[in-house]
Amino acid sequence: MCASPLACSSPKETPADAAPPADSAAKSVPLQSAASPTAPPPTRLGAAQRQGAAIARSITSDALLVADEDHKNLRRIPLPLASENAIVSTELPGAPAAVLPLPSKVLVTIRDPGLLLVLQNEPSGKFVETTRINLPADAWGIAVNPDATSAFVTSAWTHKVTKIDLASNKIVWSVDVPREPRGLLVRENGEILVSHLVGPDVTVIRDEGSSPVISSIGVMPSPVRAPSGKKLHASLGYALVTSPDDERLFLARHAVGALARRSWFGQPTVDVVLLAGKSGRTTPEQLSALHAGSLPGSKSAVADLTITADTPISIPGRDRGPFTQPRAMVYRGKTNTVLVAGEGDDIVAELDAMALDPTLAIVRMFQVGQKYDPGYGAATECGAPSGVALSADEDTAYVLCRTTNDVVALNLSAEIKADPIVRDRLALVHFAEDTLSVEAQKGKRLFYNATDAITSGGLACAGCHPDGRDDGHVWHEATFDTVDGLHTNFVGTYENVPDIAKKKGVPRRTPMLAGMLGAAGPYGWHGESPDLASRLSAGMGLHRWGGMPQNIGGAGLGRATLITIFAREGLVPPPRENRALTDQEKKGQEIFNRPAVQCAKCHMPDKNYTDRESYPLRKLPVIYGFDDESNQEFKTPSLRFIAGRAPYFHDGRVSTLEKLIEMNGDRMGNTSQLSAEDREALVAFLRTL
Amino acid sequence: MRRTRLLILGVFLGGASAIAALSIAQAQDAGADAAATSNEVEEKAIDFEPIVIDEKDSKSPKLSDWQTATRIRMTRRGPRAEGCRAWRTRAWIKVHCSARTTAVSLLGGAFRGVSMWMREPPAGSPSPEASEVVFPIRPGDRRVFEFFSFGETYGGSMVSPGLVLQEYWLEGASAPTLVMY
Repeated sequence: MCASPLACSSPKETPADAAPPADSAAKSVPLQSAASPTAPPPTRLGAAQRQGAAIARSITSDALLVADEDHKNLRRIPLPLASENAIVSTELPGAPAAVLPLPSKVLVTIRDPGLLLVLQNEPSGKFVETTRINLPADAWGIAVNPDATSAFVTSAWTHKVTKIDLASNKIVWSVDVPREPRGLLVRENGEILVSHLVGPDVTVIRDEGSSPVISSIGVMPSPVRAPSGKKLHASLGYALVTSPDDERLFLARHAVGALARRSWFGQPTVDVVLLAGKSGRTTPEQLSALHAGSLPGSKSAVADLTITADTPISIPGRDRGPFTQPRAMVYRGKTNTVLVAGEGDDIVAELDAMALDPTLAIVRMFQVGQKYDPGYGAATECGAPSGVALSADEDTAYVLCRTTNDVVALNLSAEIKADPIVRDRLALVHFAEDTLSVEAQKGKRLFYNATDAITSGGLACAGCHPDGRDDGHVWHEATFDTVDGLHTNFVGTYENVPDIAKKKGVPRRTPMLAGMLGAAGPYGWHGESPDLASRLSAGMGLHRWGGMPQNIGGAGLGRATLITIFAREGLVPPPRENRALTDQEKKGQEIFNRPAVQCAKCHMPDKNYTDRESYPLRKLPVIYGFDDESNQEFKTPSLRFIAGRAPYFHDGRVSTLEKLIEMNGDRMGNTSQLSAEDREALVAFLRTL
Repeated sequence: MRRTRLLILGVFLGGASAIAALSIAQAQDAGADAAATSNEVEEKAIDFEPIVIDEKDSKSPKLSDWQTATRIRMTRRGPRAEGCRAWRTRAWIKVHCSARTTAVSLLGGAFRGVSMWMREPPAGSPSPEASEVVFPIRPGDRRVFEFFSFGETYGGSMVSPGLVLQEYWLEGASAPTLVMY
């Protein structure tokens, strides 16, 4: 079954019965076809072996496989890691997101066009494609069931999960799930768990024949840092893993607005769920100690003298988590720890998986990023770690660093010391040169970097704009007094603003960037910035706690210029279907362009669906938890990619396009006159943009 | 030797707080000192003997209980928490840390029966050099405490991130899990 016939199709590049040749690895650990009646029981794969990632260890442990998204290559890097070893690169038909080595084949997801590739390793080290399966666009995460007879793939932009039968190489089903599904895993019992880049909950798919059953597990992001009892928004849910006994689920993500001192953006978190199953538990339960106000605390005399509202003891003391912008995670079974790659601060944190809150049980923090450029402040070695793989004995971690095209090896068997920061690395291999211009390359490193104090206050561009898209969050833009005076900053939730300020801020939904930045200007919700670099400069002031660093001269604008160049040159827009419109969509297009409806008057089709002008709009009721906003003049936003970036309006008050048209009336254009059928057609057309 | 006195002790029972008797704190301190100086004491598993939950007897342990309490092994303990020790008596646990502490608090979880204590700093020292928490244990527990440390981390403030104690008891398990980093 394929829920969207427009977005996926049956395999056609390779005959379904084409048996791939077995490689040397397959000879030693044969994986039998499920179709063979005389086949011995198939090999059962462990939890870690069932999950794909941007970096993976080959089945024979003689190489690392890297899904090099930026160069559309699969890299085979020999082990042990050494710079003199020859790296073999295989060009792929699109940007890969994840690779999963299996005993007799290698699976790779391709983002655009959406594909699952089945590859065989040749003696030369190159990979040869044996099967190509078309999938919903933006194929990203991959996992297989324990006997590796079926693969499951998330398609991020098209919000699908697809099951593929690996014997016939055919799609079994493809189902709709909430926005931006990314990481996924298959439990021992066949249940599929999916993490999302946007939103706090985990999607659960029970694979019951041809009709999968979809539900979700509600998971509070960082409960011990949440304002009393409040379920925060979560973002950056790229990764999830289970413990080897299949009893605990770990979700690395960002808890937007989680409390900490001077926490404008929230905190990273690894949330733990006790899964139903072996332990006799019938329903999943989050392992958490809820934060609540007025819990007991005792202060010494010196604390009484020095403590202020700015240094509360009712929330964890660390004002920065052990990593920033979680991007990948692995479970280290021999120590019951998890390793999380922090894309923003170039850290791989090892955390105790036995803890209620692993981010409060820091074993070590490997500072993998090094050699920070004094000119623009980002790592020139091992920047933006985006994948982690373990050696077979789990004594070495291999880390993929996206912005510098490196892989480093970390010694996990070294003594654990009281100082958790570890700077030692066993080896580094640089596997590719960047194909971007020099300026864009620097801009790319800044885009992912959360440590440069000029660019931001601790969260990179990619922290709210993952893949240049959006985190689905409505931020609070508030002006309040900080240690260094009165400043306007973004905060994740109004509880981040000190009570004394009595401010909740005005709502600002995170805008998408990729594919939306071609125009010269103006930029900003009110069109207040004449060009993109000035908008980014203004953003540097907003995205922090307090004011910009002093005496930086033109460093801010210089960085903004570099990021502008990268954003236009390097950010990849979401996939769009290249097909003719359906009759309904054509009708919607005609309605859109109809002078009486007036959509196209401002959302000009030949100008990326915006005239970039600002217009006064009728005021809507103030949303609970936000302040009133006096300036009701908003720049016409582009409608490109609108189907994939809910919620809508600058304040995110509308969750779907249908509701948007329904509530619009004649506030923007004249849609009140449209029949229900016309509205459906208009929405259908909007979805094609 | 009376070299300490009560600084702060909050006992939280059913939402009502009360200041506990001075003698308890003195005894806790003395007992902790003795244990802290003797690292050779055998640490037993938390369930060295079955943990009996008596819902009718929820009184916190007396001085004499802690003097004879059994030293227990935390499930997981990081190197920064080397100076922390745990004891169990009946269904109560005490965790004592010989480390500079400016504040102790319960960050999350049930507060019934929880108490905290810090030793008065010696003359000339700005912060207490030891502290402890006492809490009852029950299946279903989920608690996080922090022993805040002393430092300049907070832009001149004396209250800094410290050691975090996490305690939970899964249904069906014979004992709670104690994790401290």
